[in-house]
Amino acid sequence: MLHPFVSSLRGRIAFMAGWIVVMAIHSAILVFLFNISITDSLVDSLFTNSVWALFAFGLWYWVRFSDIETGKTFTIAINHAGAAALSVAIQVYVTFSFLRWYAETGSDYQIFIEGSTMGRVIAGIATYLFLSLVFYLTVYIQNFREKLVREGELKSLVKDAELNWLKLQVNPHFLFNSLNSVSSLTITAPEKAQEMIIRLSELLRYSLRQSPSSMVPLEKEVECCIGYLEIEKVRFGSRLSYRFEVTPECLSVNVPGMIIQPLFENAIKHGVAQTPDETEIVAKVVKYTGGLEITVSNTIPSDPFAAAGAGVGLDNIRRRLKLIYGAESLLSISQTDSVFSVTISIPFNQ
Amino acid sequence: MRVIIVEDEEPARQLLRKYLSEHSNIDIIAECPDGYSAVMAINKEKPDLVLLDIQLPRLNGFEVLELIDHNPQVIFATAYDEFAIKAFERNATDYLLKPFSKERLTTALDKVRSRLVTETAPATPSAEVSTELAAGMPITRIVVKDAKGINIVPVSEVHYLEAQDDYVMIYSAKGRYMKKQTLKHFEDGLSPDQFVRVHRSFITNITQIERLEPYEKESFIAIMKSGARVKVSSSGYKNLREKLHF
Repeated sequence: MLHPFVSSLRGRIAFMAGWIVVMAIHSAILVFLFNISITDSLVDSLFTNSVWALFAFGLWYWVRFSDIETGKTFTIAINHAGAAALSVAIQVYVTFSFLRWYAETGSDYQIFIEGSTMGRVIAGIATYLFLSLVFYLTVYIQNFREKLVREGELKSLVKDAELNWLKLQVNPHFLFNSLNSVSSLTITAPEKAQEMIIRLSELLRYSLRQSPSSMVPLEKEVECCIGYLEIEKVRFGSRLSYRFEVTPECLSVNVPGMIIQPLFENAIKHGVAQTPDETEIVAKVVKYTGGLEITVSNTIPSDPFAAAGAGVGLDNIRRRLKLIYGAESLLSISQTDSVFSVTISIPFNQ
Repeated sequence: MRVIIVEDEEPARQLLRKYLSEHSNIDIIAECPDGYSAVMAINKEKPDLVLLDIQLPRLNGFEVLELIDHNPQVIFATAYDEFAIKAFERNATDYLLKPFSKERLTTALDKVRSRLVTETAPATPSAEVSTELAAGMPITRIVVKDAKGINIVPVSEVHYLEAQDDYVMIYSAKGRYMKKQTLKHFEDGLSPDQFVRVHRSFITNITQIERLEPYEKESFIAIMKSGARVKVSSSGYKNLREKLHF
């Protein structure tokens, strides 16, 4: 850790200001309690405290060296006792020598100096204790601040990692089934195979381009979903039909990337794939005062054999929305006899 | 060789037709887009070979195999690799991962031909292994066939199950159904949070128990909400106590 009173301008100013206050108190005591002249008081104060200020620079490193969190209490006490004795002795000796030389022989001030040894030693010890205390406090505050910063960084790292994990990767089964369709199309309709490969590439590129927290205009998301649905239409044919109801004002609103496609995937997995009959998927986007509301619903097969149930994929979207917006229940599910709907709310994030 | 294709996606069916058309003496006698029609077609046509997808509408590929009377050879064709163990436990001849090549299908067909020569009939699927657990899926519904047709019994509607020789009788809200299966299969496959083996011959749905009454020494009778009475042995009683904390 750098010397806080040297490394920054604020530190240097605080250090000087601190000493000016100390000098003022020192002079005031001499003037008012011991009737020393203002000039002599100032000289005494200036010299004594300048010497201490020089010591204080070194004391910082001594405090850093005697870390109370890692060192043994006894060792630290010895360290400080030794340092205090030495610095007080040197300080008192140097000050005495100078002030004796400075004081006029026979003046009141000279008499005062000769009798002030004990007072100066006590004041020296007090100064040493005070300085150490201030320095330990500074170290403590610096450590605390660093810890806060590190914790904050760690939290955002964990959040990023979790988002990364939740980020919708294109489902591998979807990919393999689509590739199987492509494989078939290369024989039956090569130009359609090419079209499908391009669509698949666009979808993959779009999904890879999204970072966990990236925001894209709704228009891009809708385009991505249409691409996805067109690929699925090749697989499912007339079993799948879809419709978008989006008011134009919503298209420019930013939403998390790849947040809508999983809703369609869910509708396909639990709706379209469960019945040989036609399933219609409808996506509605409406703007309300606080944000966008996106609803994807699919008709439920009236088939007694169809396996019902919502997907785990929805939990991922719920968690992702919570991580991005920090709010609960941004995803809700509703079901009637014939329609299954999932609604997500995207708050405006100003 | 008489073949039935069970596949819900039209492009995948087209590809299979195309691949198979290059083999002589292969006769596609039916194409089924869902599991239910597959059961009907297999039972009616008794094919030599079924090309079977797993994720199908109405009944999945494994449910289809549970419900057919006839035992054709089976080649699974799916995009999911996690069902391979289960498929081979069901004595599948081969397991193709989509997309697969023409050559890969040819290899599978060669296996079918060599089996047709060496075995008069494929071995019946082993019921000893809990296949649902092998694939890591708990049983969520039971498919049974009776004189009236195919029934789907969601496990939440099952009250209790009773072993009867080679069969298990399933008592549910809508009636009772008999299935050729072992009680062990259900003990392993049903969610242990909901189903407890209370007796050598019984598994009960614990949410359907009304009360327990002492019966002879050390054994009990569970009175079900439906009014049915189910024997509870002393070890079954211990299992129930552990699950229900009384």
